[in-house]
Amino acid sequence: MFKRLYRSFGWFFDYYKREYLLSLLAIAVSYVLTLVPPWLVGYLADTLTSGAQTAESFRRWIILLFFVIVVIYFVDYVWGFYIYKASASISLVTRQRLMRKFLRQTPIFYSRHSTGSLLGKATNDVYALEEFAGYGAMVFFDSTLAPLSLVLIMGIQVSWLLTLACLLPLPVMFLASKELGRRVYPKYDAQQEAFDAMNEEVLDNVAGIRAIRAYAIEDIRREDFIKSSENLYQKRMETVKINVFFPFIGKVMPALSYLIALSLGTYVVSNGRLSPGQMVSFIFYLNMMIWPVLAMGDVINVSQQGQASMDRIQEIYDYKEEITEAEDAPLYRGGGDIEFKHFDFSYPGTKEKALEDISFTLKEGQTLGVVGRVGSGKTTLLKQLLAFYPLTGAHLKLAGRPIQVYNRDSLRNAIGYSPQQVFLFSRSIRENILLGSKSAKDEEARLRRAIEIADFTKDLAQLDHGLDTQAGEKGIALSGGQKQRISIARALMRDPEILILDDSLSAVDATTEEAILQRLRENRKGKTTLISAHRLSCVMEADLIIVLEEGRIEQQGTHEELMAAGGWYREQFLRQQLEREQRGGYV
Amino acid sequence: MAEAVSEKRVLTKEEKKRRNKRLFNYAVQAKKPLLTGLFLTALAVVFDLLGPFIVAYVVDHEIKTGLGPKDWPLVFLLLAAYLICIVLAGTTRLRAALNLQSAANRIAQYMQIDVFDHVQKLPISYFDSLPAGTVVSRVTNDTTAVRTLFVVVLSELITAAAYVLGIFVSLAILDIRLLFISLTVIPVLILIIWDFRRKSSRYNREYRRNLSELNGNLNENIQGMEVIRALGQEALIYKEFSEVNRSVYDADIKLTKLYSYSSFNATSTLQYVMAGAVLIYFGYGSLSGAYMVPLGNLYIFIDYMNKFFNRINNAMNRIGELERALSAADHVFELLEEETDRQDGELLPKLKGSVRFEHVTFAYKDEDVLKDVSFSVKAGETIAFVGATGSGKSTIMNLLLGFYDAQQGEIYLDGRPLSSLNKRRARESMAIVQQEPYLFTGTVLENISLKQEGIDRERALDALFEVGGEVLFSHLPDGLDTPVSEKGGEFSSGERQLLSFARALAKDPCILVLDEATASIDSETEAAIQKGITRLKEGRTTFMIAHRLSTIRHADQIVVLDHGRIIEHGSHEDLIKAEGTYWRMYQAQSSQNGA
Repeated sequence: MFKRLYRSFGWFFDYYKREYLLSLLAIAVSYVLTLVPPWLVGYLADTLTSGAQTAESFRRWIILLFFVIVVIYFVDYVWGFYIYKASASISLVTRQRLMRKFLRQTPIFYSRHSTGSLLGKATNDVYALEEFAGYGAMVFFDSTLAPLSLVLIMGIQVSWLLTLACLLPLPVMFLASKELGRRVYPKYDAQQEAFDAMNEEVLDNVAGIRAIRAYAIEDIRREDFIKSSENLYQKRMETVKINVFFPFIGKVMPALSYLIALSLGTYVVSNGRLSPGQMVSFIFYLNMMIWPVLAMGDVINVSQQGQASMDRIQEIYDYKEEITEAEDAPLYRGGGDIEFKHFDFSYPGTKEKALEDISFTLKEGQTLGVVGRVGSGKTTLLKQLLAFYPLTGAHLKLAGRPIQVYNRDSLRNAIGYSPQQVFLFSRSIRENILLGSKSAKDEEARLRRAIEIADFTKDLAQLDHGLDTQAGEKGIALSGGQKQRISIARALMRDPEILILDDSLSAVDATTEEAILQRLRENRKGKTTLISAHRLSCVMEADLIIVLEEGRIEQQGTHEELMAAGGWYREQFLRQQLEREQRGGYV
Repeated sequence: MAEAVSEKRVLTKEEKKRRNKRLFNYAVQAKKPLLTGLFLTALAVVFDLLGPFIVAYVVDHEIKTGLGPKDWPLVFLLLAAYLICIVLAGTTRLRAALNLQSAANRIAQYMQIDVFDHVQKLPISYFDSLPAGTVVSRVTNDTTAVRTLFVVVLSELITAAAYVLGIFVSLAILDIRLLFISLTVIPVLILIIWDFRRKSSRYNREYRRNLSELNGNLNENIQGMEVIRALGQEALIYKEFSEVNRSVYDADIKLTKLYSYSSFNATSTLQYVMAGAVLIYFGYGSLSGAYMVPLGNLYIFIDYMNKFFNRINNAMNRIGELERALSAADHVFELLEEETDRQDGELLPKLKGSVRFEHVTFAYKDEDVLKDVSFSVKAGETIAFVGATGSGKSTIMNLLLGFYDAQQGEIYLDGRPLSSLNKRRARESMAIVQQEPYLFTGTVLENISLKQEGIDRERALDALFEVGGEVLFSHLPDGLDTPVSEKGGEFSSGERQLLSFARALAKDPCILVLDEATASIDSETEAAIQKGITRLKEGRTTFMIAHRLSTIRHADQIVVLDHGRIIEHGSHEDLIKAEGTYWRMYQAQSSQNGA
């Protein structure tokens, strides 16, 4: 077990050698010095009673005692501080490492690990590590070095026989508390379950409050709630019923030790081997043994939890990135055609083909429109340019080279991407848009321009704090259309070689849509743009339109060609036009 | 956010007093286990403090180096008494803890039920602005925190107080000078506790705040990772994360420093100092011959100080929880002070179903969403409402169900003003099918019957079949007992709609509200349940909102709303003849269906 622990945690000690060595030194000093006061009490009691003590020598002892007390305070400060400092650093470093790892992962990784589990690793598991490295190290020393020093002094000072006899109840105490721990764990789980069940039930009642009121079933719901609240009470009391035995055995078992000490001690004393003062010291030492014995259980628990958490974290560290790129990967310098040739794609871990036999060429500077039903593969197609997924062969070429050979950063830096699911960060609108910027040069001017093109200028006036308005989860509620336009502005910030708008206009109204498209055409002459949409008006001016159906290209051509050809595109276009007129005409 | 707000708010003295009084009132509700627990605690302290006296007696009188015990039987008697004392102390402490914990858990439960009941009576508008999670947290997490308050206060603080008192009394009996020595520790101890409490609460808050910021940062970045990577902003995000992470570390270090210099380290030093002081006292007496302090007393004093500081340490460790628990109690009481809907009003027997709106004007906030709306429906008639989003259709339903009160005008049910009726009783005669029906966690059967008395399996099944749910039923793996998980996520919106139709039919209401009930059902399913709807409407007053005008053409009355006003009112034929808004909408829709 220790070998395994060392393999997982060896780096702690390599990393924080200084802190740990310093602590270890301080601990050793502390353990020796804490033996002094109990001993001194007994020694002084005996010598004072027997008259062997003079006022002068007594004063010296007292000065020594206070000196020792001060030293204990300082060494305890040192080791307490450094051990916990090391553990805090460990959690700092672990989180940094995890974040670095997270930032290197692709959507594949994130489809395999839920946000909740990743969060758990970076918070709860890191906390368990910190606990292990700090509290765990402390109780480890407390339950090994401390009892060792105590047993030694009791044995040497008093009597080995008496010492061993008195220690007998302590292993029983250890085993009993371990057994209690074993029994209480499932009760804690049951308690947590009951709590979760009640939580869920209350949520159900709050979220379904209208239905409850409308059906006047308040009383029925109340009865159910009282049942689960009573259940929680019962489950909590079941843990209490076990927990109360911990202090009980912690009190009775040491008392047995004292009892042995007193009865056996009286006998030993009567043989002249032990003085009353030593007897008192001995009892104090016994008292100091209680905590180390109880701490042994904690050592086991904390290290088991630490090990389990380290394993979970290690799993992330060991995750192999799907995409590795050569050190000397060529930089993408912009421009060039985008060529798909018999391109197939499946998401990792699935057999089904999300894209199949895709072939088309988009010339540099052209605009592509991608349309099709929900789930036909539009997003999957557009995302290929971001090269998040491992590709082989030369089925997708950019500027003459297979896209996967490029240095990924240079590739993504050339792309402005506005995803279908707009994601705004909890920061101001300005900062959100500036996330799209790659240099600080003329940033303000470029910001204005991006906002202008994305047609967000008029919205700014309505927002209380304009560009400094807080967005994201904690920010104000922005409409879907506003979010989309912020996302477009963000994508435009870098004046990208390739602009990808994945269904980014679905929530804006027709006039705004037209304005944005018009400005994009004016501002992006000679640059490649890819747009997917449900509303065909978004793509009708594109140089090439692709109609996807279940991952395959069903039709391609310009708007005129597709209208002439008939089929899904034409049908859809006519229907949408009609809807548009109706909406315009009504009320 | 809620926490940040409450942190800033400092309670006035009166508010604190009121809060404490309320907490006390809760404590009174569990007075039996509470008083038993307190009594047993006191008893346990007595037994626990008696033990060292016996040891001291043995040390002083029975152990004389080289002489052996004077009286073996007496020694064994004393030792047996010691064991009994300790076992009794252990058992009474155990029983005390059981009683006190039971009291604390009961109090938490009473509070849960009170908050739950209060939430059930809060006006609907309360839920419009508050996220469900916050309300839930009041009922569950905050009451759990308040339970900690009672556990801490009762088990730890009161036990500590009992020990302190017991120790002082015993010392006074033993040797009044020992009491004076022990009292010198009090001012220093108070200083340590004061400093520790102040700083630990500040640093803990800082630590928790930074930690929650770290969680937020992580959560957001993991969710937005694709965007971060697509934008190539990994370096910036990493830098920001590092800052937050660092701030957690910094707060952690502050706490570490505090715990290293104060807390256990400081109190154990005090404990040593006490031992030193008593040694001086002992030695001085012996050396000067002024007085003799028995060795046993020395032992008792040091042992008591040991117990004393153990208790103080335990109590200090839980001071932080105390503060959190008090702020949770404030949250709970704040919610309990929210005004509820009126629960009184005339209890009418089952309604017949005539409804009349008279000059009703209503605003959720400032802007009127209904303006001077009047109409009247006879029992058994169907009335339909049309209009654009925001024209006030759903508001009419909300008012009819008594979720909100009209600012002007009155609504009459069976000729009685709704404002004078007991709304819950009135709703017992109504049923609603919402556009997004809510399914409860449980089973299909429970979602149809809502566990109402008189709706058994048979009736629920009949209801489901009558609204056209045969196909749905055939897909249910366990029939009516098929589990429904959180919010019915496994059911499509059409299926949820069907279940809520069955729910409405099973209730057999006399007023039926269909709020865009068929919006999420595709046309095929709609045809199938159209029959069900017809069946549902039979003999009931029906309020309908529908987007598809074809579904309402047979209504007895159609009301066209525009910005909260009635602009057209009449039967389908009337309105078509009038060639107004309704006519235009109808034209548009039928041409679309034809295309």
